[in-house]
Amino acid sequence: MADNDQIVLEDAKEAAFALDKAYRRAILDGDLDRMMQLKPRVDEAYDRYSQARLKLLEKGVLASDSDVAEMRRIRAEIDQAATIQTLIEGAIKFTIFIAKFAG
Amino acid sequence: MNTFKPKTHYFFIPLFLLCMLVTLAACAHKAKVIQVGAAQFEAESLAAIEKIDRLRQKEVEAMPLPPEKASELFVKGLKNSSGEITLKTLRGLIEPLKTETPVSEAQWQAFLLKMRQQYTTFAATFASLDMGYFAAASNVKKTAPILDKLISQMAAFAQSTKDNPAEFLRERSAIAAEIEKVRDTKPFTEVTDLKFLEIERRLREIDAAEKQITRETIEQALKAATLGTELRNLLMNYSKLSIDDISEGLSVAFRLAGSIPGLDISELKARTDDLVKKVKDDDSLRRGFETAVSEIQKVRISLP
Repeated sequence: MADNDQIVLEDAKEAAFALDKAYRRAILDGDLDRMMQLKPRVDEAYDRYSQARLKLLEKGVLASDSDVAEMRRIRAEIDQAATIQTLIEGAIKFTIFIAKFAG
Repeated sequence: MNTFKPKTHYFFIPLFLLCMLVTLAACAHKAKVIQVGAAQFEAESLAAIEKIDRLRQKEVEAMPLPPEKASELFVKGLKNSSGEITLKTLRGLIEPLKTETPVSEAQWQAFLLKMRQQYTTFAATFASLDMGYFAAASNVKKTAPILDKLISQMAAFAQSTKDNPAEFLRERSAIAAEIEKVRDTKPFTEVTDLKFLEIERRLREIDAAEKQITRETIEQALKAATLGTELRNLLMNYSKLSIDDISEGLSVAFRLAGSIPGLDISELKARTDDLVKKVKDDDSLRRGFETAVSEIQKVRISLP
């Protein structure tokens, strides 16, 4: 059974299609007054349809702003680790250099 | 004065340090692979987000009227009209097929920005991993739960697109209006047949374009999700070293150590190359090696 958001999408699609078809017919007939009456309703119907499609997509979104903040925190830790490691590597190379004199 | 210490003691210092270099080099190789993997995952995910954006735009946008049709509408429309000519009327005459969807557009832009930011931030997490590959090992695994969400999102976008394939509504409504107009024009003649055949051709073109954009969007989202899954395996195995990683690390470490003046490692290199080959070729040796390395890893990960 289709969920509520799916039904909203289908209804919005039918409404936009029916209004736009009437608008297109007005264009074909050169009926400017009717075009002007229908245009705001056509736009509104497409606005609703586009929102309904977005709502269905958003249902699949799991990551939140706090996950973005967590990613930034982990990045800061990795950056910090890079600084520490650069120092460690420098120390190792220096020790190898010293060791050859000791040997 | 250290003269009382046996000279061989000093042989072990570079040997020990060489071992450290091996581990570092092996991690460095893995870090590079993760950086490349994360960048690819980001690129494919951003491409999928672009496809989704394109699909939703195509559904509610219309091709502008050809110039001759637009001029015809202008003249005929004004002759038929009796209402006041307002700014809105003029805008409607110039761009009759422009779709204005301000509310949904703002929501879409916010959504797209949020999505792009999530995938870009994820890849950026590993920006300096190539310099902190060893010290940052314990941080790498922490990103896996977030990656899981990002992968699931791509899979969900693919599913949502599959469940709701693209329909270019504005193009389809134009076709429907034309069909009704032709059908209302009687009697039917050969011209009617030709008009219907032309409409059929256009409808089939629209249908093919809809199927194509739907297929491309699903494929791109699934491609990103698949890459994400492979990346996840790399993240989970980052802190584990295998004989292949060690072998890779050895070649780098020998190159590094060989560049240090006064340190002769040629014999050591020959012996270790031989040892690595034996370990690789012998299953039981390989298992023993993996167990030993795994124990070392446990100690390493538990370090602050």
